[in-house]
Amino acid sequence: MLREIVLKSFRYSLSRTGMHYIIIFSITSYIYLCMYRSVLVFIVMLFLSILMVVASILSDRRDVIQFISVFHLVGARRKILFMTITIFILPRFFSISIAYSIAMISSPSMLPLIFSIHIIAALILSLIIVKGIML
Amino acid sequence: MSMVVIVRHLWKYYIALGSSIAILKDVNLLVKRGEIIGIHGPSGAGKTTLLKILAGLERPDSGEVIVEGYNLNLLDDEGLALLRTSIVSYIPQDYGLIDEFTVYENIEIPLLLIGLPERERRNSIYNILDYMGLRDKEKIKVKYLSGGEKQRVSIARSLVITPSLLLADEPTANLDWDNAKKVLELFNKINKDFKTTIIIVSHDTRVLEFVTRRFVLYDGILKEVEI
Repeated sequence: MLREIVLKSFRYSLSRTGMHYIIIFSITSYIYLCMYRSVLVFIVMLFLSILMVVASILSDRRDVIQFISVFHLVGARRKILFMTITIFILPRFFSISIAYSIAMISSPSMLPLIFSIHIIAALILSLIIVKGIML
Repeated sequence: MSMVVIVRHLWKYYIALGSSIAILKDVNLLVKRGEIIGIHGPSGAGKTTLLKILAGLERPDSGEVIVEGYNLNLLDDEGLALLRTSIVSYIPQDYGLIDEFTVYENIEIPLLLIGLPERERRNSIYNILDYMGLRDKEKIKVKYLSGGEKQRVSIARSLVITPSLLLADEPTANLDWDNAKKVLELFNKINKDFKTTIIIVSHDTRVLEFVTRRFVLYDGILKEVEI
């Protein structure tokens, strides 16, 4: 049961417009990060990435609300609702994270700094968004 | 005849601009098994709130609501969710469907939640699609359907768990009268075939011709009217 719901949520998230923007942004980020290797560029791109994730979620807001409302209406428990929201949001972070990871392989000295900032920011943001939607 | 719904001294308030407004005032309602109840009232009278309370989507501020022997006041959120996957189905005015999902996928959602194996899910869905005359639409995304078709998909999704209580919020509001009549006749058929108790709320008085008992909800006060 959970597997089916996870897959449905994941497929639904991938098919949304906001997710398409994120994939395009990730590709361009990767190219940019490979071309201009400096801490400043990394941090600026990180900031832009977070904005991009927020923008993508806002652009898909109607869809995610409809998705969660329908599940709630037909009797999904809180745990399932939380899980579907998380699955809806996480691929957006993964997409950008993959772009960063590949780019960082060529600049290992910046890896600890950027990676830790990215993970903390992503976690805080996803918690805020999930909490906001649940309320 | 057993009671499916017992509502006693139900009050519900909303906070608006810092002051509390009673949307439901001492509502009392007894619904027997197999009845079709029609609740008529103007917009803002509290019809949707009453239906949402019966579906466990909202909680009353005071009073008692018992559905199929379950006192909803005593159930936590998990219990109310369980109630909606087994006993009560709520059909919202906007159909409550996922536009990007196909007809089949929309009907499948409640069955996924109750953890039915795939083969049984498929059988249940095809049975209900045949019953509703929607078999040829199973692979079509809901966003491409007409209002009447969306309403039938919403009813199909509600029926697939064979609930004992079906709650329909303004089921004819977005339909022309021909389609509205078909939907109301469908409710009568469901009532006969599945012995489902049905509560319909509507601002349209014509809906009341298709019910067995009529109520009027005006300014939060519910009164039965003779047919």
